[in-house]
Amino acid sequence: MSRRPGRLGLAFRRVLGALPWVVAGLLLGVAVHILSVFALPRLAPDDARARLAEVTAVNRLTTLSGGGSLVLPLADPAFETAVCRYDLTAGPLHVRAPVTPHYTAIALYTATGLAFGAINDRAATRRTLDLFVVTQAQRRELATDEEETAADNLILVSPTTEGFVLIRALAVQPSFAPLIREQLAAQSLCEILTPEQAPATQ
Amino acid sequence: MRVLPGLLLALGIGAVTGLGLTALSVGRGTGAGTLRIGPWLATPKAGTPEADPYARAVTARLGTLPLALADGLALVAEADAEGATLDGRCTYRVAGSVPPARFWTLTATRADFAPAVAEGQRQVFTSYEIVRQAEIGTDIVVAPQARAGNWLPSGGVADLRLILRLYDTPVATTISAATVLPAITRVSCP
Repeated sequence: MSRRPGRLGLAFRRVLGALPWVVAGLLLGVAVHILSVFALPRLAPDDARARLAEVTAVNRLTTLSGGGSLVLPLADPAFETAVCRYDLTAGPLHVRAPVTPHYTAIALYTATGLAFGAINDRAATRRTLDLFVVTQAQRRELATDEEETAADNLILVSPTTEGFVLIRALAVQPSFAPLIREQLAAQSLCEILTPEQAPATQ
Repeated sequence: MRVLPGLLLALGIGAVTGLGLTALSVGRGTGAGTLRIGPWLATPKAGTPEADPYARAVTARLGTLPLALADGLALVAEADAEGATLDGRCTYRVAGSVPPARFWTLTATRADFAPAVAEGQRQVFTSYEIVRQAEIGTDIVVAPQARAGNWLPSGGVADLRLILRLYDTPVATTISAATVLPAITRVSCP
């Protein structure tokens, strides 16, 4: 081949010359892959935040009606759901859910949809499930007393100022769904506390 | 090779392979946190602040809020016991013991996790509704046409997925490849 570089030899040299660029491209591909996976939660145009922004108001509870699975994909159709998009800038958030006949849970999410806490009705001591969501700074302000359960007050620290509360209740049969939905709408709460209302820790 | 065409080639290959890998891997059980137990896939950490980057990417791309682990654990199946992809036109039996949980639900969905059948039809079975048999723990038939017993309609969709959700369960933190889950066996196919 070296004696008389034919057409095949030239093509071979060309390919050999491109090889470092191909390797560089593949390495770049690995980097792009890693970066894009990490960037997806921030860049996804149709994430939970975008979907819920259309149907909910800040610090107000919205009951997702029967077609709730359209708003939040991968939601369990056996459940009725109420959602609250919160912003803790103005103060701590009070969340209340009624204890429904079979199962009620409150789950908390950061703005990017990371679950950072959940409780279910087993933790309820009354006919409602109450908890307070605060920022790290508000938690320090609140009280120095560590025995926060003394007054049956459950306090959860949100890693972000904004986030979501999901209140979910089981309807064991589809015929129960309207009842459960009504109970959620009537007895659930999601509101910012004024300083006087701050949870007692004594 | 000259620098400019080489650079363009490298950038092109980088973009295509990188974004292609992301498109192919996100949502296919990739990531260190995903467990495969028979036909079932579970990502327990997806419902915690320790969710891995793949789990976070899946959450964002689906546009959902994942099931918090303290609330429950979701298991997704795309294939039957023999490894064949689930097809809604076939008839399947989901039978065996379900791990201890306060209750569980079984849902038939499509590949994009939208319900397999329209609202008004049965989209989900809860453990409260199951008619139990003497010997077998749980026995549900997933089929396009109505059956006697515990029938979950699959709507005849070609891209069937089954989701088993365990609520308030100790398995959420102890789940491993040795956890016993119901088997999905194909009964018949047209």
